[in-house]
Amino acid sequence: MGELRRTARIFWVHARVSLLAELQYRTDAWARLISTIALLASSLAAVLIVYSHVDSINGWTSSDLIVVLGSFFLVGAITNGIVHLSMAELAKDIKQGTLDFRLLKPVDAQVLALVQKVDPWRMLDVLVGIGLVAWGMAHAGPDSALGTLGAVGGALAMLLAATIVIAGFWLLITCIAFWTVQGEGILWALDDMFEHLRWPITIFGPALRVALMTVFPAGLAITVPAQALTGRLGAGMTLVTILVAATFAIAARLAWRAALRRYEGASG
Amino acid sequence: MTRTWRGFAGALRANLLVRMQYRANLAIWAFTGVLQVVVYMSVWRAVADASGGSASGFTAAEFAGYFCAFLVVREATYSFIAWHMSSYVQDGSIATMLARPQHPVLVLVSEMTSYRMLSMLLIVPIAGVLFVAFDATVHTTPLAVVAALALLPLGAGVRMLTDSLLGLTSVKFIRISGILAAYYAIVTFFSGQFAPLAALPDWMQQIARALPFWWVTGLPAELLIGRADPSEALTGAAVLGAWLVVSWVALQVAWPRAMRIAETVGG
Repeated sequence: MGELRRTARIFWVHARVSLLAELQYRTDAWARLISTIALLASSLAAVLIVYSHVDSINGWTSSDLIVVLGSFFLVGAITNGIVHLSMAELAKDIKQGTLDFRLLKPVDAQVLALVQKVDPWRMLDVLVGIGLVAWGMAHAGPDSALGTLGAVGGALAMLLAATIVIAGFWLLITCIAFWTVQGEGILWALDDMFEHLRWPITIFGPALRVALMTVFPAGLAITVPAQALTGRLGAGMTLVTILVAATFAIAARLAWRAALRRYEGASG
Repeated sequence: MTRTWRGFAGALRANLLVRMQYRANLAIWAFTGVLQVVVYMSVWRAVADASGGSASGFTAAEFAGYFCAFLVVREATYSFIAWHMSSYVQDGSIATMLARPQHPVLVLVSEMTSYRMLSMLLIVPIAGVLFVAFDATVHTTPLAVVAALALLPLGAGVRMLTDSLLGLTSVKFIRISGILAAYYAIVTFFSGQFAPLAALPDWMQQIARALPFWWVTGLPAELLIGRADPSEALTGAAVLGAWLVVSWVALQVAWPRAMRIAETVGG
């Protein structure tokens, strides 16, 4: 518990520093606002176009899809607002040898690496995500499980599991930079792939579904909170999510330790 | 002119050598493009199945054929020049590029061309595998395929010039991630990347025909699967030719003005 509080404090300190840094570039807020609006508009347009042809896809109605979009924005805020930026910073540190300074600090270096950079403008995505989930709940049919207290609790638990999956996977990939030195390109590619996962993986064929749960587990991370909110999350999928989250957490820890043993540093 | 081409050929050779050293990076980016297309393909196949076998005249197999063709066309005409130019302006390296005898846009075009030459070696076989794996169908003719292939260089030229124009806005705004996000959202919907033109509402189809992006990728993809008549390639060539001239003139006008206000600090 003490370790958790300490981690939260480290995150809060970094979030505050990031906010102060970002406030120096206030005109950038417009660019971020346009980004979020473009993402929201294109996501809603995609749902409207698809549902002009059908009433539901594999049982997912348009209201349910709006909930998936809400989950996409919430998971996206964590992925792009904290994990991606922090991993890009880590890749840069590895390349320039400045990771030495972070390793010397009296906190867990892995935790520090994962939360070292926060994009405060991504709070906009959190608000959009909550708004979309609320809209989806308000427009769901009377038989839907949307909005029940259990569903919300389950969704929060799945969001936590999704965060662990995302953090573990992104760190695992970034650890490759300890061997290849070049790591930023891969991270941008992951970011690009994430942007197109605005659909529940259960509408895909088995091969793609499995790939988006394991090879690139962002699909699982976006889908399970939405499944919990819409009453579609069975015991099997819950178990799979917990197993995937545990696997990535352990694999990331082992990869981090192996990578640090290899790291030679080069700062001057 | 000969000097310009010699410079371009030299830059292309150098970029090819650099890219060949980062083969894993290239494969990852190619995989990114494949995933995007496979996601949209899977969505529309599910829509066709849910609508009783077909949607907007496409069966699930025909949607698969369209997206396999689109994957190849997209890769042949893809451009990340806007991103690269904005990053060169942000980190100041545009200053070094300006000091060299080659035009920076020419260097960016050589970067893009070298990427495309290598990524196509991966994408074409992948599209073939997806074609088989998703049980795709096409009803094309050799003439339609030739017409589609003939449009690709024109389309690639238009995309690179429009991207260059967009990248130039970074001279004024420095960070253009918001502008680029809006641009890529427009490209996704109006290029045929999200869905074939027939699956879009009428008003979106009209906008798509008024913009260059559907002519760059959507039309060649529809020619490759036999949805568009080969005669439409002539209209396509005329439209793309017009866009090429307009964007070229716009770049000639915008470039010197942009460089006058550029305040780069690179070393």
